[in-house]
Amino acid sequence: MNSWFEFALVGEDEEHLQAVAEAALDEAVRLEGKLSRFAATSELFRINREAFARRVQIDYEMLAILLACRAAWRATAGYFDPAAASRGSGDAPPPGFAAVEIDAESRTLRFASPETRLDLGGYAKGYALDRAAEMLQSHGVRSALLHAGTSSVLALNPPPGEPHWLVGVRRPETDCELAQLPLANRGLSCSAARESGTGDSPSDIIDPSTGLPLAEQAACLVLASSAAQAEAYSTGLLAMGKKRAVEYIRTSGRRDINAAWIEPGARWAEGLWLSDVP
Amino acid sequence: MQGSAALALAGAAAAQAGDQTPVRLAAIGVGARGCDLIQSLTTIEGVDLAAVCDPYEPHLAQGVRYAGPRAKAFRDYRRMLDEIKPQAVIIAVPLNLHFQVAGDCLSAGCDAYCEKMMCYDVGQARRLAEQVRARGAVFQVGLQRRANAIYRQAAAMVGTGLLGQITAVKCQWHRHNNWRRPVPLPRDHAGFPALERQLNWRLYRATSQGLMAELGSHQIDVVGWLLDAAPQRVLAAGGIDYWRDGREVYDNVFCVYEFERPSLERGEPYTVRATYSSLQNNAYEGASETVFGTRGTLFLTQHKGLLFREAAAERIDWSTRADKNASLLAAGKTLKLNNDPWAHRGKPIEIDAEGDDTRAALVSFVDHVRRRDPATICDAATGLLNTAAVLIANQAIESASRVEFPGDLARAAAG
Repeated sequence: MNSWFEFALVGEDEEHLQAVAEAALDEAVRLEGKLSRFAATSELFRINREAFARRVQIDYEMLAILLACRAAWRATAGYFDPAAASRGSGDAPPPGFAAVEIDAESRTLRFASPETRLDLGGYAKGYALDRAAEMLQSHGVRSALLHAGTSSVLALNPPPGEPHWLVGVRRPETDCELAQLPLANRGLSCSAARESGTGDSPSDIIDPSTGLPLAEQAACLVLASSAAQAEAYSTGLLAMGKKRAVEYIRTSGRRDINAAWIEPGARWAEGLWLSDVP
Repeated sequence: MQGSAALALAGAAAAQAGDQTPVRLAAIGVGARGCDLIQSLTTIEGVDLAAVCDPYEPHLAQGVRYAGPRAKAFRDYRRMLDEIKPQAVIIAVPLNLHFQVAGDCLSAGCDAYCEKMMCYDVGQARRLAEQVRARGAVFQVGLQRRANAIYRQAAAMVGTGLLGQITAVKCQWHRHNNWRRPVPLPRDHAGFPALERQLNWRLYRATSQGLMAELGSHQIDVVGWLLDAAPQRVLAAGGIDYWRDGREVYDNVFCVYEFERPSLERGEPYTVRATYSSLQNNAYEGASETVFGTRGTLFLTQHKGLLFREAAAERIDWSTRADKNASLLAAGKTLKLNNDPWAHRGKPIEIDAEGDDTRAALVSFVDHVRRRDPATICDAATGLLNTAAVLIANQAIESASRVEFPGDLARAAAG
């Protein structure tokens, strides 16, 4: 993840808020350490290293995370794919999450392909924010705004007297503010295909159907009931492209999710929301 | 001080062929650290985590979540011992309870993994070490750098003389937080003071030996391991200079330990001084140990090691013809020196390792339990020396004087 976590907590008792914030940040750091694809000490690293050679035993939390990812993978017809970054062999697209065999009963998993690699970059930040929020709430802090790397945001109750938190959305390629969104008790995630104008910075989001970085320049912003859901869907919807994303939002029956599509140069308009009500 | 065989870390894969019986474990004390241990345990094959114990309901509930539905929950660990009869226990209770809990578990015939520091005071540590010895129990103290491949490599480098003569060691653990755990009760609630004392046991003297025990124990153990010696004495100072919030333990400590080592070159013993500092309101230096030797320097953290060579004059043998004809090459442009303040260090050799050292420590413990091998990577004898080394620093701060390491323990370490 390697993200900057920032938590804003509202309350009267500063010493208490500080202690709660530290505990919540500790939890985010714990999860970062566990779910990072890059840290050689992480659980994910261990799984990636061993799961082709043998069945790997995983803990209950990792199992829950991977099952949630599997559900999002199925719900988005494979466009949210935490194994999309696996290197394919030859010209064939990489096997993706289909090659990840999870046995919930024995709490084990294995990879059917030696190229398979899990990358939770499209889920972990949101998951960490949700767990941090739980910690806040279990200690009586109900009003807070949390974010990870500015691309994943979780709003709890707004400050007393305020109707909502205000979150500014920045155009991915500039510092200009595109819009301000009112947020209360919702998760928000922005995914963007990276600016490729200079030619040397490919998108870090992979199109699972081709195994290649997304070519289409765009950004997708998703609101959902949790930060993890928001992140999974912003990754998945962006990967599926605007046409399929519109179709998905219209037909999925998911009332808790909404998405806005942002094209380069476009101004913000209510018409950007893929469903009728933001 | 016994170094441990490299094979000790071979882990579950090296268990006797055909021995598939899961090792039945119970976790006692499932706060933040205990839950980390539980999560690691549930990823190790051949482990049956049969019970979790904690008198505090929210911690117990979290422990159960991480341990899974087959683990039975207990408020009272003694009842758990009677009912579950585990083969081994994993103990992560507050420091002042280590001796009682570990002792009861050993008496019940269990092997034990006990979080550091082994005990709250040296008297308890002596008695516990004796109990372990008398029972031939498999006992491991949770000083997990002993299982960390970077530190094991460092120990080998130092032991084989790669750094030359060790001159000094510098350790620090600097963080920026108040060390308080949040209390999930309103301040005016009748139960707040007792719960606050319970959750923040690290801040009060009756239950904690402060920064030296919680953080320093890891690093003092590393120094002793690398130098293969117990300290002779320590000078130390500390105070509560920032977090003046009712805590009783120091919020900053500074120590100079003295170790005696035989000289590599001249034969007579010499003193190696190891400094240690712990701060809680500045995180610039982080946590690391730096070992200074005449031929090189080792910078160690749990995630990365760096070996820097000392710039040293070399003896050049002019006897061959080729050397006599050598000349200095001159070129047009003047080579500039780097302006970087760290440039003099040169480029280090990087030491990397995969895997989490807490998990590796637990894998090793389970393996030793299965093989009934009491020579764990950090046994009770090591835990006793560690406890004594840490506590002379606290004594030195209290008494504003130099404190000697207990003589009989020093002799035992040297022997």
